Amino acid sequence: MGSYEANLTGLLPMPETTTSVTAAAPDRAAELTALVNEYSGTLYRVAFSISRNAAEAEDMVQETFLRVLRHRDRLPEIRDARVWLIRITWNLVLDRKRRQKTRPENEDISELARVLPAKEMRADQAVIAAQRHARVLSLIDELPAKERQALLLSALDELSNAEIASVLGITESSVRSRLFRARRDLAEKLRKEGLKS
Amino acid sequence: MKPSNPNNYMQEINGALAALAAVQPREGLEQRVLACIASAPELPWYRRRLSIMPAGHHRWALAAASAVIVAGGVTMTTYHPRPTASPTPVAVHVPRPAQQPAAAAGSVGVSKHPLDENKAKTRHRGVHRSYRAMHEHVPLPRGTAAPLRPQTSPAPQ
Repeated sequence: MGSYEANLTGLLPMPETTTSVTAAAPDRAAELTALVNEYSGTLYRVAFSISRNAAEAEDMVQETFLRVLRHRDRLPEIRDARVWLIRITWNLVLDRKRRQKTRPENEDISELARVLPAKEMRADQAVIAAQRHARVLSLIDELPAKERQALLLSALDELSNAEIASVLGITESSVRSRLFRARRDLAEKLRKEGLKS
Repeated sequence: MKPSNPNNYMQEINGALAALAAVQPREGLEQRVLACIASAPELPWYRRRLSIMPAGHHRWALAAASAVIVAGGVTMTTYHPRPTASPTPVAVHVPRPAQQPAAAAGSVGVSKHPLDENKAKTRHRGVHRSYRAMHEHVPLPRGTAAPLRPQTSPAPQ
């Protein structure tokens, strides 16, 4: 049986890594399915914040869970599955972006327009607002990598500063200082932008 | 986009970040993910081990480190150092004991005792003679003509 289908249905044995966890193979498959159902949306937003492309973000979510499945034996050892998954997705997206070595050229303004908070806006207003947000996001892309990453992760309301620190592998105070610098520099860029326009 | 004060800039930033955080995937993402991982082929064990690290450059670093370790192991097993010659003896210069006060005094002429003066002269002469004995009275091997000494006879008138 050469597919993961067997793993998902619990037909293949999976070795235990800790004795405290008595999860059997079907439980492991159910656990993985629960992870998919619970965190797919969060991982999609994490991937989208970097790639700004819906299809690429979805690919990253799938790749993340493929990796989880390959290392399903480690699942019982994971303390915070959410941060672990976000970290995997984050590294995957950064790795892909590094390989492309280009900025995202196809920013989904339509995607932003579709999800704008003000649903009661007219269509033309929504497009204008989406373009404005896309402009701010392009200025975010011009920030230094450290500040940019901290700022993008902080955009996800689900993540606290401690969790951002865990994802980035830095201290919580470093996250705070990076966020401060990022917002300050971004406001400065916006001010210059306002002077230009 | 002309905010008048920094607070407006922050509102712009927060609005863009909120829009980014409000992105929703297309319907049925979970089902697509589950179908993807259900149809994915099983990787061999070495690929599973290698895929622990997601970043590609980490894999290259791992491969380079492995190559260095293998090369070092091969070198250590195949390299046999040549036996080196025993080190040449090094002369140890023991500092000569300090000169006797009397002799030192005689050499500098402080002491006026005649015996001391003779001792110093005798020592100097002895050294001189031994030097001359080494260079002038060396017995020549048989059949060798004696070196010609310069004639000291007066030149013919």
